[in-house]
Amino acid sequence: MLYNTMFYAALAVMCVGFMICFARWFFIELGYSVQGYSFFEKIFSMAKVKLRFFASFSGLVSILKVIIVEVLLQKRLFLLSPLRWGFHMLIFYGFTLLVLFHVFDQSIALLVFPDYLSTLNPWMFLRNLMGFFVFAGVTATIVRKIKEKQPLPVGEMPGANHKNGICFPGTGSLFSYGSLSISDIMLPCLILMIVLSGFFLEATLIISRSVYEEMVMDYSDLDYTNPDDEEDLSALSFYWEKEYGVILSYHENYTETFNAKNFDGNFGEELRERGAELNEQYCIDCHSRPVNAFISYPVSKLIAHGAFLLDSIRADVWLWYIHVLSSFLFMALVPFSRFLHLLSTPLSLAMNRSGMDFSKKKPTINRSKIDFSQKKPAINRSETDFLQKISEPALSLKRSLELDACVQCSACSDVCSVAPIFRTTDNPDIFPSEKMRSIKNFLISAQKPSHVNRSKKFSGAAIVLRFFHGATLQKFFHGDAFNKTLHDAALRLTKGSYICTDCFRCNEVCPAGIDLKGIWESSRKRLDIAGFFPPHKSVNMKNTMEWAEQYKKDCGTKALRKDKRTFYKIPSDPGFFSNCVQCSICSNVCPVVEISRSHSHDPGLSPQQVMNLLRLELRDVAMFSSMVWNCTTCYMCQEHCPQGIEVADILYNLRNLASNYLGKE
Amino acid sequence: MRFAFFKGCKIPHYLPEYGLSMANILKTLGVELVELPFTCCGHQIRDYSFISFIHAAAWNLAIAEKEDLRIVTPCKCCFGNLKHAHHHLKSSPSLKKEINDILKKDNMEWKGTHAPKHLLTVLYHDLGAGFIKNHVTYPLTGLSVAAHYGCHALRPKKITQFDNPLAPVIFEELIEITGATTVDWDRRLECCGNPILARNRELSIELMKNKLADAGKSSADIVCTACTYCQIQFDHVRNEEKLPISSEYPQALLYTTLLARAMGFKH
Repeated sequence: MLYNTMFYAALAVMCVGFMICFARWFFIELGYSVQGYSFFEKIFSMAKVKLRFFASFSGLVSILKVIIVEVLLQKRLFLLSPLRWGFHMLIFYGFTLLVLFHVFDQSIALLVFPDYLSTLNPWMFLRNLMGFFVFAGVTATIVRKIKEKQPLPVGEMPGANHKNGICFPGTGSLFSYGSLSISDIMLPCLILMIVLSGFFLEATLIISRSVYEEMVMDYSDLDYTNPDDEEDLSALSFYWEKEYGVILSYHENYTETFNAKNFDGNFGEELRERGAELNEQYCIDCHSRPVNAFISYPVSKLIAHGAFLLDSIRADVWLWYIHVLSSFLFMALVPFSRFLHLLSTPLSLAMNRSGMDFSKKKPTINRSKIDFSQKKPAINRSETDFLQKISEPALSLKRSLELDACVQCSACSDVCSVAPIFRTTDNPDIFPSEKMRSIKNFLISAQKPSHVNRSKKFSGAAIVLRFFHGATLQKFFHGDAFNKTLHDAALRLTKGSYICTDCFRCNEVCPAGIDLKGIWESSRKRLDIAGFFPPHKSVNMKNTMEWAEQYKKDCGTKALRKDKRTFYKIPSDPGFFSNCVQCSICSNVCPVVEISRSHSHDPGLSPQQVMNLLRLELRDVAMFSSMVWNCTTCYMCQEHCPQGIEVADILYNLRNLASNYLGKE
Repeated sequence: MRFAFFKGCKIPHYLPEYGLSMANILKTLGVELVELPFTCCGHQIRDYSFISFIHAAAWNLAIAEKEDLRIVTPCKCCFGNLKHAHHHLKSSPSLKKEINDILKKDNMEWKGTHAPKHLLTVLYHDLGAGFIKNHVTYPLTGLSVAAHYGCHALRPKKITQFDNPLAPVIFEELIEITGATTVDWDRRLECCGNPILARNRELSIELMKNKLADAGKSSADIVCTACTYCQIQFDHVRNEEKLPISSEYPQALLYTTLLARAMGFKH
């Protein structure tokens, strides 16, 4: 009863969870279109791309290759770290085989091996072996996780192998509202609990008197109530205690038998022979000796002293419930936790490798064939362009799936080019693995900007989705405070998103084969659409004077001087700029000024005028002027200044200052 | 001679041929390059935060110092940034202390013993034009080349110490080693436009077009670059803009590609 109720409850939770996942994959928008795509657009686009790909024989071959090499053999993880690959393979194969042949033993195991019996070898041995694999793999993973929480001292890293090099601690997300994933340690512990309860259950079954007696009743012709069988029963029990490890001697029914052997040596031998005979007659066909259960058997020896106690409370029943219920808990948690990667990661790998991996296609030609005498041929990008056009909605779908394929293993963060910048900004969204989580949270909770009219059918899905991710409740209870949290998180994500050199290192190492670069690009676009701009874009939202007014209102001049970090080189006294004689040489050599004149762009201020503003203590006007933001940093002005004023560096500092302010907007 | 090879962020994926050809050339010339776990030089964060930029650069300088190696980089922006950081740290003890306090968290320290170098400096000053000339087996006679200097290595002279910022000669002399002839052109010291690509794409493209057009006017067959970002601008960005190669807008090639060709490398 309890079993069935719990099973169906777990199944129901799992199904609802998967439906939320599917809803999320279709709801989350990670494309370039402002309006987003409808459910059917995504489906059709995906179908088009896939049909195009699978229409050819080579497409089928390549997907087969992906399944074998990347999903079953996990080549990418091996390339990243053979040790981690080893642990992961232990868990993966141990767990999969246990699920197939132990959980579904009545259906799958019996179908493949008609003579399967859980108490026979090699099944007993293999079950222990697989359990051991999972146990070893999970323990190693937990140890590694705990160890990696400490920052690795970079100064002591060995040699030039960057894979063992810079390592940052897996920084906990500061913004973990609504993410239903349970912490890194709890989930492996759940698996450990399932495996350990399994071992202890088997061990208790081995030593249990009650189970022994039940089986004698069920599978032999002997009867405890029949006095004629008494001798056979004691012979069998004697044999089973010696050979099968069941603990019977403490019980009053058996004390006579076990005491008898002490005063007559031959008696023991006879009893044993008779026991062996009976064993052969009734038991051996269905029951191997438990010695082969190489973990459970030693465990049963360990707990043998408590056999009486364990049997009197029927520990085997309790353990069975623990074993089964924790398995149900696991089942229910699959769609809500990183266990989801059992499904999402192979799916994303397969999708990425079947006609959707645009990051690998570079629009450059083979340089080795360049002939100096000939002109470089124009590159035919139309094929790529066409594919990209038809697959845009499918790409959006693929990227939202990839958000779920990430398990925050932080392989990407370990090699991230800009990781050190975390030390000076304290923004965890610099790390790719953290960014993935923040992007997911942002996209689920992002309020629809007023200028986007999404079709109505999606708003229902959005409400449900936000409810299940906790946003609705949080909003209900915390109101404005929650909105502010969302806003701050989005600002942090914007900052983190633009501190990225697009170097592809994360793409190269990701064991799940996620096209991270594609996600960065499209998430920046989504941030744009939601109204979160990087400083160099938001500065164009208003004109110079409007920004200056607002800045004065928000900060005043005092706050400016406090912030020494962005103010490193511009001293606050205007006397510093009195050296500037307004000779306008800087403006004459400036390429931006020149091009503005010849192409009638908005010339804005010239460098010389910016310097003049600084002389007049109008820094707040200067820092939002278009000259500051159009500076190419070519240092022409600085090199040519007869008064030695560091014009280009000053422009850099003005940008720093303005970024600092705009980043908070 | 041993150097720490600072590739920068863009080379491995966008211009792998630059890294490869440079490594091969230097190997042939007897220079050993050591690859260390470098990160971004700070170029990316420089617009946002001065201290983050200095810290990011000092981080890399410290990694090389730990191995007692000088950094050599093929990228002029990386070179300029590392040089700037080196200069600022050298000239300001308070900044040095602040940065070292942050670096300490990762058991690193910037001491300032090794200044970074650019590929061209190593070729010109450390190896010498005459020495390289001995290795040129297939001179590229008849090719006229416009040398594109790249701003961040050239200016400000006070900090980068690369060459005379108003009348540099290093690059031309190095190109002439390959047997090609160099042309004098008006915009050879100007910006390629890449630094403002993200901030103002239109302006950036305008600058690039002006530059290429000027090279074309001076009857150069190709524009030669020695900087990752300049090459990306003249190659990838130009392709994105669908600006075809013509005598008006000549194509850009990396210096290492020229030299490798002249030294008879098969790619």
